[in-house]
Amino acid sequence: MSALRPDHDGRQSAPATLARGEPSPEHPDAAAFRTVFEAVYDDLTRFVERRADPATVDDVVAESFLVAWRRFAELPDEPAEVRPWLFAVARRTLANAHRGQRRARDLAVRVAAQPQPPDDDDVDGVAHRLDLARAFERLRPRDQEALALVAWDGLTPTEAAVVLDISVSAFSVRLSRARRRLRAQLEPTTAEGAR
Amino acid sequence: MNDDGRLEDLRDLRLLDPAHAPRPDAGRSEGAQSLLGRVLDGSLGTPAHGRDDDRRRDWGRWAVAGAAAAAIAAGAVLLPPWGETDHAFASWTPVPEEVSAAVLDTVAEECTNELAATRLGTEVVIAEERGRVVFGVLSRPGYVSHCLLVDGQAFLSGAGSTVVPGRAATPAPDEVQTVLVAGGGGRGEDYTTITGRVGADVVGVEVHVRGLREEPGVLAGGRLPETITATVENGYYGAWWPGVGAEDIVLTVHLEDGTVLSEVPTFDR
Repeated sequence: MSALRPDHDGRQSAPATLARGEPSPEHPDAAAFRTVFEAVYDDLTRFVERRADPATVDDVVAESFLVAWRRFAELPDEPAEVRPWLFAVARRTLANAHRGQRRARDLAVRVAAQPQPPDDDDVDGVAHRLDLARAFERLRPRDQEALALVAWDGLTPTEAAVVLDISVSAFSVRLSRARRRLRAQLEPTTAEGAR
Repeated sequence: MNDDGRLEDLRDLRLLDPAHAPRPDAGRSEGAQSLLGRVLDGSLGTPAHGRDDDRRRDWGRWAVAGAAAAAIAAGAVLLPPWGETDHAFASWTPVPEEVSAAVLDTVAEECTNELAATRLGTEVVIAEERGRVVFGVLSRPGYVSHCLLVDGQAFLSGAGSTVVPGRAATPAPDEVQTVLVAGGGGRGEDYTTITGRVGADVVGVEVHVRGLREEPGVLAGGRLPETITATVENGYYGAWWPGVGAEDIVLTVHLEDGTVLSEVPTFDR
């Protein structure tokens, strides 16, 4: 990933947007951006859905792609690295959306209002999932985020570290602690205090 | 536990996923293509466009006396704004508070996050709190950057080169080298930061902003105080204040032996 470098007047280099309404030829990067957009659109939307109010999901997705387009030169060359890079853009967009709300830097992650039923549903399974949902909701946002990046967004620890802009080892520690706290919430008699 | 962390608890968590089921072709849907078209043709009326325009206007408004200022490659990065304007700046104080270790950690994480270019080898040299806003200065050889955090979130950031032709690489013991003055904002979030290096004998710096083009209305008193106490740490000094567009900025420098140097210019003239 190339670095963010302000240019001479303090703005970041970005593809020039085409003039509105003019039948201008397509920007040289437009085809490549279209490919990225179509490949990642659904994943990015789902990423935002997990973290944003439903009414603002479309706006955050649009803002994220706009930022991605303007910083297209910084997009990773490796296709596999594009998704976490865009997730990181979306996360920063979300962070700014929340900046006036006196909350910690960790974004709150929502859980499904009605968890999806598993194929082999049973009473114990339902109870476990309800317990799991309650336990998850009791976790700190930082722990929720670590778990969500792996369990929901399907990222590897390496990719999740990119999203959070921390080292892989730091993320591994964070994930390990989050999982331990989740288990502690599920088993209060053997609970381990949060650290 | 296996190495990739995908154990049963994580598998079970997937059942709680609030997102819609995957739709691999969603990117080619009518709605997605409409969004793509608006991004590419520039017609997407997002706040980021407006804020970038504000940024340019503010940089144009910014004035620093002294030719040396022009040699400073100062840049600013305005993050995509969202939501209603938050007047955290109203809580600004002319005297900074020292930050806790936790806040220092936040500065290191959030500011390097937003200034990826300065990430490697960058260290936090100043971290101070004025009301709800944390001001951080990060440095690496030949480069200095700053950022403001509101409620732990990186809010505004900027960076610049400290290499100024004709200037000594290291300040003399009683010298203050101002290396970066940056202003920006918009929509009631105008701000100015000042950062510099200090010699070994400098224990305090006060900043005096003269000829402010427009008083920062966000402050309770409606006026910027005559004296702003800078933070002096790790061989650097730094401060920030609401508002932009000063005619001049001068310093009062306090040395370890009690000497007070008044009317010290921020830049060589």
